[in-house]
Amino acid sequence: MRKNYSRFLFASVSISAWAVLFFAVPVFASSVNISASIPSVCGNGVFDTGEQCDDTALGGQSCVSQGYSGGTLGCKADCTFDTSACTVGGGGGSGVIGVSRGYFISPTQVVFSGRAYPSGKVTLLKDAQIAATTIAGNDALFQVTLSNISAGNYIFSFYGEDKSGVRSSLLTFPVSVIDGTTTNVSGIFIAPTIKVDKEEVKKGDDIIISGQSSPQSDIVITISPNQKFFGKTTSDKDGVYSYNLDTTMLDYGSYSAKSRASIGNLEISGYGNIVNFIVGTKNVPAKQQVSCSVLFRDLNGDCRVDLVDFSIVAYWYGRHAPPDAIDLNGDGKVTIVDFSIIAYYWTG
Amino acid sequence: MKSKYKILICLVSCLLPLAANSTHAAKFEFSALLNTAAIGQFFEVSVFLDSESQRINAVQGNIIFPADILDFKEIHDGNSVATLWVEQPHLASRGSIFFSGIIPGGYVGVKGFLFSFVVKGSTVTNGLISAKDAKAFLNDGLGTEAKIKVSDFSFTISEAPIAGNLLSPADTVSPESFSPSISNDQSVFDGKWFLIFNAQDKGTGIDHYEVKEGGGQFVEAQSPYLLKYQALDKDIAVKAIDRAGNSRTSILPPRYPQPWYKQNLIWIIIVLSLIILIFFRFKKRLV
Repeated sequence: MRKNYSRFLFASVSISAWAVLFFAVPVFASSVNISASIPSVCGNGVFDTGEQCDDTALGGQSCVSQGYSGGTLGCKADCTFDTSACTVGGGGGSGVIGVSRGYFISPTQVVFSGRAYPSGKVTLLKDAQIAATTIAGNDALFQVTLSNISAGNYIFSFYGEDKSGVRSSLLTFPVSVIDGTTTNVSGIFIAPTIKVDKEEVKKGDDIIISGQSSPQSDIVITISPNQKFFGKTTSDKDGVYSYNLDTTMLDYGSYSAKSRASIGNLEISGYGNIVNFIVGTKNVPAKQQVSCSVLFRDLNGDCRVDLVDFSIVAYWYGRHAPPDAIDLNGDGKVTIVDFSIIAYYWTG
Repeated sequence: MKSKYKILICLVSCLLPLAANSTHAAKFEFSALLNTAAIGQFFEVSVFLDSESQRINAVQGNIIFPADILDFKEIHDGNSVATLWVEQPHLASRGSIFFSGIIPGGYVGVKGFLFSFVVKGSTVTNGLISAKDAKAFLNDGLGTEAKIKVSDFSFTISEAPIAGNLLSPADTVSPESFSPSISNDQSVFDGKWFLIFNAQDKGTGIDHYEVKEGGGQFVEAQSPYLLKYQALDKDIAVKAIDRAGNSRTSILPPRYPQPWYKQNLIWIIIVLSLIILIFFRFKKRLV
């Protein structure tokens, strides 16, 4: 009996100990869900998506619709309702009216929808950190839902990646998320990607400017400096566009090109990234493989510009003699200017 | 008459570019629930960015307030459009709050909240809050400085009591979940491993961070943080604490966990188990 007891005790202790070891593994709570965007501008007096109100624009709401018995509904600076002048009860009522708001509580989430590139990867950033990625459909349309999110003001950003792996510029906008409300952000139109086939083109020869956008989009290409020249083309069913620029009319010198897309003048993207080329005396093909550090100011070589790169620059902020690779504007010190350059190339 | 026209044309020609420029000057503005507070009453002044249709991705400056009139209490930077601070808004010197931060991708809007600060009046008088050395930068990849305008904020400290609460609601919400990571780079900490973290708080804003490696104690830390255990064989806990005292902790597992035979706990368990076994066997023999 005692033998059995000792064996049982030994087994119990051992099993318990091993259970502690194997099951007391830390649980990681890095919760990241799904995502999406549209530009709402708080403070412009216009009731935009994602806002409860804007200045005097209350979206047809009143104290009564907010569950109060009366008073004057106002709008705070952050475009949320100011109910401080609303009255509760009145005429002998009890606090019932205030409770009624609770009946309509739904999940706090944001639903984003828009256009990118056919089958292209779309990345959503929430306050500069990657919150979700998705793949657009063959029609370039995408939708992302970001749930498990707190109420508050957020900066959301989107970028797309075309079939060649070329990234778009970052489309960034603020959204005010309201507790217990689904915020729909639609009309996102990620700017076209762009590349050139030559880094130097012999004056008089053609340079091919190409990229990807939504299918059957009207593409406008602007050549700088002076932005005097606008080329127009249309993307094909795969969203691919290509434009042959005759450099006869351009003087010798450095130029940059950028593009934007529109569909029926109803949906218009912003301008995308800029590519540079030279009109000179010879043709020099564009490099097929350009390092991320050159392309994107990526400091640690992971082809992303994120918190790691920010931290590397932050380490040298206020220190003497930063390395050349970190002093992005080459003024011999790390200042807010270097952080501004990082912010432009940000990928999250 | 003709000469008058010429002068007029010249004047218009000269002023037009100025007018055009002035329409594209990012603006730092202030706002408070009321411009008047009673003596001894705390009130909150918010600092906003109006981008004037430009895409602004970095801001920096000093907010100047009369320290002989206003007693400083605290700063709130939750909900800021500046999602990453180079230097979080802080009282740099008496009557001066310095801030420096970025907005990856840039901000376009007329009322982008940067931060707010709470003060109380100590003297019955009028005063002015302004910005000094304020800068904003365009999101152009070159760090181009935008033109700047500052709208000063005038306030009155009165003897008569002012009804109502002039402060934001209490913050009872923890910072949002966040994901610390470890990295190394030859240019930072001599190539040693360091920890990176950044949390967002939609209430009062992040006050500070604390880091704990393995079974050690939490210590206050800033990102990037040089790791004590370079073998990366310990759990790392990072705690983000907001200005109201709410906190959230994220745990990073060891990248290279120790093999079982190097873990003291396992040997303790084995030894204990053996001792118990031997004890009962020995006891049986005695009986």
